[in-house]
Amino acid sequence: MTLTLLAVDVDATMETLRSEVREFIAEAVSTGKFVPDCDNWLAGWAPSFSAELAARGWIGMAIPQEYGGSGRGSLERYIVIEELLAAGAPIAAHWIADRQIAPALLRYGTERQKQEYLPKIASAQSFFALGMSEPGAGSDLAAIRTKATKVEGGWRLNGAKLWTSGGHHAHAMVVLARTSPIDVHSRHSGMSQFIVDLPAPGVTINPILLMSGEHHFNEVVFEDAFVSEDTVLGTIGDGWKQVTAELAYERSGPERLLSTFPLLTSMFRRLEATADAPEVELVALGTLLSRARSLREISMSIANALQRGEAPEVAAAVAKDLGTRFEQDVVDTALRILDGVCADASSSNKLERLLARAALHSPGFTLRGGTNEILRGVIARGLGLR
Amino acid sequence: MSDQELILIAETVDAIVTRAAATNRREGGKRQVDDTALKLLTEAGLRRVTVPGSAGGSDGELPQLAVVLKRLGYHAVNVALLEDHLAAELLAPHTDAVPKDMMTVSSRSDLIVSHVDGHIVVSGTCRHVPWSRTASLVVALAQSQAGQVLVALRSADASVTSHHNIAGEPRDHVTFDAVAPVVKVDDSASSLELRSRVLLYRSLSLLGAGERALDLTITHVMDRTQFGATLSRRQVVQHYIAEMFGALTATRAACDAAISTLTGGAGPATLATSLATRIEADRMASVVARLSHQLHGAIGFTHEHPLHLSTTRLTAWRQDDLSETACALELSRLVPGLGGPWDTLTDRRRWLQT
Repeated sequence: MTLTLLAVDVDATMETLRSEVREFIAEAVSTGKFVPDCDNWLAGWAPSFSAELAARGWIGMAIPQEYGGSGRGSLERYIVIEELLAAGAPIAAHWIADRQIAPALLRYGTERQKQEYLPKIASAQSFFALGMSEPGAGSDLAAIRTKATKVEGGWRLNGAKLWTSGGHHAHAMVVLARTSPIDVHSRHSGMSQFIVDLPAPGVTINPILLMSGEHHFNEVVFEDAFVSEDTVLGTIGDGWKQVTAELAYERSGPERLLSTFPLLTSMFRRLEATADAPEVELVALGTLLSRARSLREISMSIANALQRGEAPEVAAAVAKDLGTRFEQDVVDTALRILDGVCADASSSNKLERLLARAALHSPGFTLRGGTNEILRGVIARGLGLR
Repeated sequence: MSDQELILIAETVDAIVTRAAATNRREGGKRQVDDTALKLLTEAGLRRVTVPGSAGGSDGELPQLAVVLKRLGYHAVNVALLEDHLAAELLAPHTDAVPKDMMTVSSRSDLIVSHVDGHIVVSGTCRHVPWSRTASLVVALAQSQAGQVLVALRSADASVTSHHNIAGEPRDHVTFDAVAPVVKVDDSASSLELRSRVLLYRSLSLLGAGERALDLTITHVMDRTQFGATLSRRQVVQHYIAEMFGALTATRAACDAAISTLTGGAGPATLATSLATRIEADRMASVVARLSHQLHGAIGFTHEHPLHLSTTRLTAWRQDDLSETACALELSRLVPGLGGPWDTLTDRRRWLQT
């Protein structure tokens, strides 16, 4: 088996769009609207910046106009988000809603759900969190125990979700829960998805601090939390199928290779400004750049495949496995070659600041969205090994 | 050009290789040219795919040539098609008399152009020239007072010492002593053209060799039983295979992008894409050669098993043209002129214009 991915031909419309985004970013940086940082799609929660992007039509680009989006499609969305990611812009607030929830709503949502949420997603008024992992279900997602019990007019949720990014800010979250008890012969059946507006009675959100001390993750506890019948997303019992269909989006995007790109750019600038730049450093950066180029080509061609309605699961697993390790390699290279530059979040030196964030966030790159070990299993299965 | 057309080309190369297989034997530890394969490839119009018809070519397109190079690399065929093709396409714009017989290209030479009695002559050595003993002409870059020039030299005018790479392929040292060039091209674009193309073409050959090594390895781990289960049941084996597959996917993506960039003509930006591609191919060669041997165990280390046909080439071809480190150094030095790392990655129009 080989992956045949069609190379993407970037047309003039996309290049015009790219220029517009670049101008906007340059202006935003120079006027202090944001300070570029690594991994800012996870850590940079900035509703007002999200609102500015929405005003330009750069959120909900894959949402049709009838639901308040710009309907420009996933390839043009790709151009916008890769520019924002490479520049280290703070896009965490709308990230999950724009990347994952909007496509899921378009695919599985009822008319009411689409009318209610899509326009607010596109206008950056509704930010979402995802409730998937649990204390006893990390890589083994099928082991979830959060339970939805049928009651009159709806469902009652009981259980706990873990690693819920942005849950403490979000307006709503999509929760994966068991609607029938686990069947050892068919572990993937009996799960369903619910849209839970936040805050809500019976839902408690507890912070879990990252090792950097930052608050992005949460534990979300459900204690007899009631949700009405029309909060069911898609079909009862199809939760697993619906969730895995989203994974190609979640695993192949440019955020799986560009989380540390601002650091790479900064390293190149430093060498440009150095007379007689050491060859060993130039070699290290050239090697990283060659890898970034391949990864971007893979990622873009998957975006192209998604636009055509395909769900290239194996390709997406390759993109994330290689992409996230590349993100870590950028950090490791910085630590290896930057003599006299120390990771320091309080530094006035941009490179030291970027390195501090990148180094502290680095372990998460190869964990979030499915650990790389799980992804390699997906690749092996695709090759017929298991 | 449709996918079907490219598949047809691949199938044609595969069929030719099968027919020629009987003559593809190792003799005296050194590889001989596979004359049968070469003849069949020539008859099928696959020898000089993108070269103009006037120079013995088929007026084809780069993606078609890419398929031929990949499949020949896959089958480890002993033909100097890469070098002959490159020599022909470099000479074709500058001479009406492109030879029909085989030529080669040297990408590692210290040739110098000088004037002796009013005649232009070339002196110096081309080291490790692929298949020079079967080539009528050696095409190479030479240093003149005006800068780098492209020259074509008769191999009959050279003194040749026989050498081989570790795959057993001829890599002779070819020395010229005040030899008159058959062709001399002062166009500085020729240098970029030669270097951009040879790096991409070698990457495609490496990709083919790597694909074969992976196929052999998958077959082996699904067949071989130890501790009561096939090797493929072991998670660590699955992860090694995923590692190889990932490296090959990255190389393929790099090659595809370089092909579409190079289709617009050579420049500093196309050189950058070719350098980046070759870095990926060399990384892949390292990963795939190492892990395919590890997963084959001792049997893969024998002469009898075909794995070495791929892995010795993966190792030998990494050393042709330019090392991975030299590629990375040169790529980094091109980046400021291309607008920085992000522009280098994204701005394909600019890449095409420069």
